Amino acid sequence: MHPRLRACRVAALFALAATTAQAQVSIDGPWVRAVVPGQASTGAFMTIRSLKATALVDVSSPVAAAASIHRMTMIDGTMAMTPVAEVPVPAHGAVELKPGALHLMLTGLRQPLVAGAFVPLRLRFRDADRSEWAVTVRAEVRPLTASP
Amino acid sequence: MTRLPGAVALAAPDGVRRALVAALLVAIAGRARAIAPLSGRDVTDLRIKGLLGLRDEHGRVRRLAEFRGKAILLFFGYTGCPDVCPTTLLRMAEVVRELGADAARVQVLWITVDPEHDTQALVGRYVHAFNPGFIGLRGTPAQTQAVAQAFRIHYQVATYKGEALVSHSAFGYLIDGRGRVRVRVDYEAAPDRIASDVRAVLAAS
Repeated sequence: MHPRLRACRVAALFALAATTAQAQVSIDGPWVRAVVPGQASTGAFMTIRSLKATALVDVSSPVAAAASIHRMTMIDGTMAMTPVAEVPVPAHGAVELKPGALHLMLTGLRQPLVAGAFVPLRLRFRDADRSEWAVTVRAEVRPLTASP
Repeated sequence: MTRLPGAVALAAPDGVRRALVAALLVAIAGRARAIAPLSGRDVTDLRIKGLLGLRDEHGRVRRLAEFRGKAILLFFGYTGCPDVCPTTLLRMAEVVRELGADAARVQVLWITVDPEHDTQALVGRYVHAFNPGFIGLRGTPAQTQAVAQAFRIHYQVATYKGEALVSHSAFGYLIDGRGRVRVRVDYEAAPDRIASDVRAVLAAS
């Protein structure tokens, strides 16, 4: 077999191994809100769909010192942020991370996020059998003034 | 035979007459209110004595009295806010657009509840991203506390695993040209309704 062809097949096998866990999950429309210079944190949003039951347990990004999962609640006109340990995604279900609800927070931003750019977000999932795996998505930076 | 309702009232026993008079008064009060209907919650009767004395991005101390003759839309927030604050400022920008020529008679003020993280310059840049006419204000933590208390606004900045977790009242106020706090502007309020309330308080003050 041609060496280059063999290399292709090996690469394809690796790709297959990496995607078996991920194939069950699709991340739709990931986006991050742009910031003005000096702003230290921002929100990230997306829809997570899964064929098997899983849970989003961690998030990280090279553009932020830290990232976490938050839930916004509104009680009697007061908005509050609560950290969330994990976001369960039911089998054949979807969870929307959106403004005004569950969302991701990027804190300690290392660079300004300008509308039109893309930011890598690494999402770590834990399946029902306790196995963990991660997927990296490119989230579009939308203007600070983007409406949800 | 027909009798006029008024005649019924005159002929009716005392209790019934009082009830009819009360109903008439309610109807009159309803008409008076209908002259300047406000879509937001009218909080005039709470007589909220607001105060500012906070600095803008140029370091200038801004006071409520300097905005006399203008309506003020006042909100509290923080720049690290992922949804409520951008949404509120976005709606205020829409209110200003909606007001058209009357926009010159309204001032949007936004006060940070997280002065430890939000610098004066940052607060200015943040609000200007929504409308260059907005004014962002910042005080010391003690001043911020005093201003929020005066406006009956609640906020809390907690730290969890090194990150700031902020909670704050998502509503704001519409203040009339005489400095009276007239309407509580709820987070869900639609921009066209807010704009109509701005016109109503400007017409009345």
